[in-house]
Amino acid sequence: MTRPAEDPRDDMLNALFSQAKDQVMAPSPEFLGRLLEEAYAAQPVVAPQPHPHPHVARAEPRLRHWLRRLAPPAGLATAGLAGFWLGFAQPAALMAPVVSLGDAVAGTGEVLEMVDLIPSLDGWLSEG
Amino acid sequence: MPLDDLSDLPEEALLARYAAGDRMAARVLVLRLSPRLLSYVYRLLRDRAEAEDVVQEALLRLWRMAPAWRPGEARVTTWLYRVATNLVTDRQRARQRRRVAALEDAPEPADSAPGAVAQLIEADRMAALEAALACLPERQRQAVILRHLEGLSNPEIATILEIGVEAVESLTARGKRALAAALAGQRAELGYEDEEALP
Repeated sequence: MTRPAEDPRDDMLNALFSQAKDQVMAPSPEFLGRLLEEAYAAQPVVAPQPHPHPHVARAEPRLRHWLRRLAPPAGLATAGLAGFWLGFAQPAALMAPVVSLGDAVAGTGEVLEMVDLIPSLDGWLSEG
Repeated sequence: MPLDDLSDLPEEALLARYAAGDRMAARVLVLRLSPRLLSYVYRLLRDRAEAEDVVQEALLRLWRMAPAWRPGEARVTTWLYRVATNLVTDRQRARQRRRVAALEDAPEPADSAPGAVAQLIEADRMAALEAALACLPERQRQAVILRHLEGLSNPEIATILEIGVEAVESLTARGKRALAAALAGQRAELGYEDEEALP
């Protein structure tokens, strides 16, 4: 099977395409300058990481070390103080936050009705 | 990072660096993308100042898009060609409206006009090709330029023109036939008869 003869017009057209393909328009320096200016202006600004003062930078590891050592005793001391206050405080002082909560929720000065979530087991244990 | 190290990176990677604040990436992208884009837009508009405006606008949209660019979804060049093509279409429609307003009774130019091409007696080969391209309908011209002058594949052109691959094939085939017909009468004038006569 023979290939059909190619149209000579196609040869001319392909030659023109090939010639035109190589011709890339060079942007002028002014135009490139404008494009770059716009590219910089539209570029997102990524904030650089702030560098600490040299004295602070030197002291930072020691500070972190001491904070790490102080954390457990500080937690223990806080827990101890809270336990001490709960043990010795008067009931009225303990009820004050509950009354305040009643004010906030119901708008009255009354104490919120409390539900005993762990009822006594005495009723179940009575013999009969 | 030095310019040489960036010049081998693909556009997508450069755009990510641009979004991260790398000024050198901006420079490489401008130097790499603008000549091709300018040539393409100029071929469509045949007006350098207008072509520069379109390229500037298309690149500005790319810079704004950069932080939200999702890698792997589209190629930067394909995306840019699409934006530029749409901007060119808008300008050509605006031009057409102005022309219609100015010459209400003037006849519309024919889609393929060998006569118009023949008027370019002193034109060289590129000018003749440009003039013949200018006679093609808008979509045919865009498809032929993207396929035969920009060297893009049919699927890429389909993405840019937002049509199917078969429609691209049809547009380029019809465009090429129309160009061949428009330039047929200029064979000798453009020096192709002489070349064939050579041994």
